[in-house]
Amino acid sequence: VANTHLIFLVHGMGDFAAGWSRSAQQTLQDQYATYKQLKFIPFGQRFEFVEILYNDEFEALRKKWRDMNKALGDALKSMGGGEIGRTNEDLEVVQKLNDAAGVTDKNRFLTTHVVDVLLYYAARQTAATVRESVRKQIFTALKKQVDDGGLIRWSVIAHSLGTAVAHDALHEAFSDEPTEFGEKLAGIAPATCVAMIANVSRLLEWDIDVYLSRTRPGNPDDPDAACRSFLNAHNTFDPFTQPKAFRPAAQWPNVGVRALGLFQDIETREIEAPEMVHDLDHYLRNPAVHGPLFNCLLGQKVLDDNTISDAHARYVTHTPLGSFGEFVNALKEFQLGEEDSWAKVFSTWAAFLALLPKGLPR
Amino acid sequence: MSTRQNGKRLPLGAFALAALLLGAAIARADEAQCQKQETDGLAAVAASAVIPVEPTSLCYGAADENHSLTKEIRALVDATPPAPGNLSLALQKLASRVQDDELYGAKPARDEYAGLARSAAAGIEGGVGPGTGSVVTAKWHVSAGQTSALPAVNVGRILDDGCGQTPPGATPTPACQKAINESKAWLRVFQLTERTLTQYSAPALNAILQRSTARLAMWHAYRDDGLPQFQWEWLLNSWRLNKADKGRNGRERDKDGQPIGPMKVPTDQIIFLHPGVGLEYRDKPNKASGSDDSKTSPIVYLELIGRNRWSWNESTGQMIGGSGVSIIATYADRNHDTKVGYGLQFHSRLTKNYTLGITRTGDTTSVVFNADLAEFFKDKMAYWKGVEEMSTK
Repeated sequence: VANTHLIFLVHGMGDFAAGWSRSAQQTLQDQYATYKQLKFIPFGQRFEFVEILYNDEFEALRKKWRDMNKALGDALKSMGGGEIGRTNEDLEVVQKLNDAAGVTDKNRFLTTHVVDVLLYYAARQTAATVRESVRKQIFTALKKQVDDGGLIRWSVIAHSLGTAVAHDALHEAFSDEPTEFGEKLAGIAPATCVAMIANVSRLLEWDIDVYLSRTRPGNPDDPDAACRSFLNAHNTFDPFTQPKAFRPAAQWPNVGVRALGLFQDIETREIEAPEMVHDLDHYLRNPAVHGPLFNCLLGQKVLDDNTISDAHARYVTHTPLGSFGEFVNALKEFQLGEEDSWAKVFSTWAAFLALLPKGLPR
Repeated sequence: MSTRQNGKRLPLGAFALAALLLGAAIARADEAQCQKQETDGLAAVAASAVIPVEPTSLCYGAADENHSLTKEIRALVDATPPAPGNLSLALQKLASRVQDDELYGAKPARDEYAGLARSAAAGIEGGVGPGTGSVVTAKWHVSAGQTSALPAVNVGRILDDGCGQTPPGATPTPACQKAINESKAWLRVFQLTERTLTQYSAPALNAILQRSTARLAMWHAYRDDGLPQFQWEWLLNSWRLNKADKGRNGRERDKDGQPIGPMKVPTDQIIFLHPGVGLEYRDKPNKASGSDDSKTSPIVYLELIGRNRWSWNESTGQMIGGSGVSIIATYADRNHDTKVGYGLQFHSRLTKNYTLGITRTGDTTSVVFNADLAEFFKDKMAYWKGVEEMSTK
């Protein structure tokens, strides 16, 4: 649809394939539908998701190395009956080569998570390829938006490794040399909102300083800024966001932008389950994240602070720690006094038992 | 006049703004539908006492809006590719319409818009770079009822001033209706202006996409059409790229010391400790030692160090040329002859799978035919073994 606002979803580390973002899309739409302030603007009529996939670049490289190592092993093995490879030592070499090929097997956590991150961080040609792939996908969608008769409206939601990728890709796009048409991309197509979820861009910082880059809020008043608003969300207990955390100074990128509230740093503490603490969907379900995110996408504070804090309070009670806190608060209601009667003791006891979760020994 | 929500007092005009923008957000088909959405929105707002403010108009000025001004301007600007003359004409028409029509309210704001639109038209005629100066598209993006280009026109304020005394859901007073009409007109003009400048930027956006496509093709060619690199070669070449990027011929830096644009795609690669297998041909088997070796023998080799170079077709991203040389050490398991040799191996992208090497083994010069292992699968090796066996019979 021509006049929709494109939301580019950029995945994090892991073995992602086409369709990876369905869950995040559904989460955002579900949460959006819970706010009466937003129901007059149906999500599907206002926004359109564009899934960004760059894991295929890592996978192509992994496959190349896998094939090279395997081919070397196979070639030596095929010569084993002849002139080379007939000794045990030679066969050991072949085995080691095959093992080396196996190291890049796709289904290993080491290669789909750790190696990808290291490759992005340490291998310049890998980082450059990934960044260009992301840019091409974004520009392709924006061109279609224009060709379809629309205005350029877009935002980015990036997660984990994707925050570093998106940050770097956007800086390079918005600082690039003019083409023959003499364009200034920030004057043509700035993003409305860049949302960094579980931001690790500073941890993976290599050639571009995250505090000095063009991936900053403030456009159009800042003619070089890649976006109007910038949202940074992290969970206190998310281990990946702690080292070299993205925590810009109070005047970043400038005092005016901060005064307008165009940068938001959101720290959450809620955990639905320990294994989810770094998950994109887990972040997006939290009203402390998706509330400001919706405002960021809409370019205006449609959801006020009270609405967001009320939704957040309800959400907290459904988390394990939150429900325990609720339980403790309820227990405080049962404090008996020195002079209370037996009747009061028994009625309190009955109420207390009713409060306990079912299944507990009584 | 205000109403209370969550302890805060909100101007009633905000409700009218909400209704107006709400309708703008949802409706697409025509003016009548826009108005229907406004009515529905106003009723809903009154019922729920909330403010569904959508910051941009998606109805007024949209491609499918059945409005005379929208149709006139869209007819000029929506061609692919857009004609600069028509884009300039569209802006001049918008300038004249706004300046001459009292629907748009106060004269100073109308004059200011006309000046900006004519300046943009002149910029287009003068070939000002898209996204710069008077043709910056982003400044016409409506946010919270106003644009950065023309902050004097604030749709929210217009509605607040005109409809502040009108309760939500009530029939608008003449003053309120005038404010609503003025707001709609401005939103239409804003979108048409932004659309016109977006179309002016379209060739630039297309050029950016083409450049990105070409660059990505280059990086893919570097990975797939250059010489295959093992992991340690990949990291070594990364180190070289990084060094080059920070050097004299690397990316320029902006005022904040940050690199400008993407990293340059390299035109060479280092070959380092690259193992492989192939065939060696010795024209003179060591007959003196009573050798029964054949002239050909399978070998393993190691390219110790070397360099491969090429150039790029910048517009398509295709690799051009591609040749290299490396120092190699070979090992052939010959029974009665020197087994280890040293020499040079020559690479050409056009004959990537079957490159040629010259080595010296003892006092014998050998020719080495190398099948690159990334392309060299078992069946090929079996084929060459068959050739060798035939040659020894």
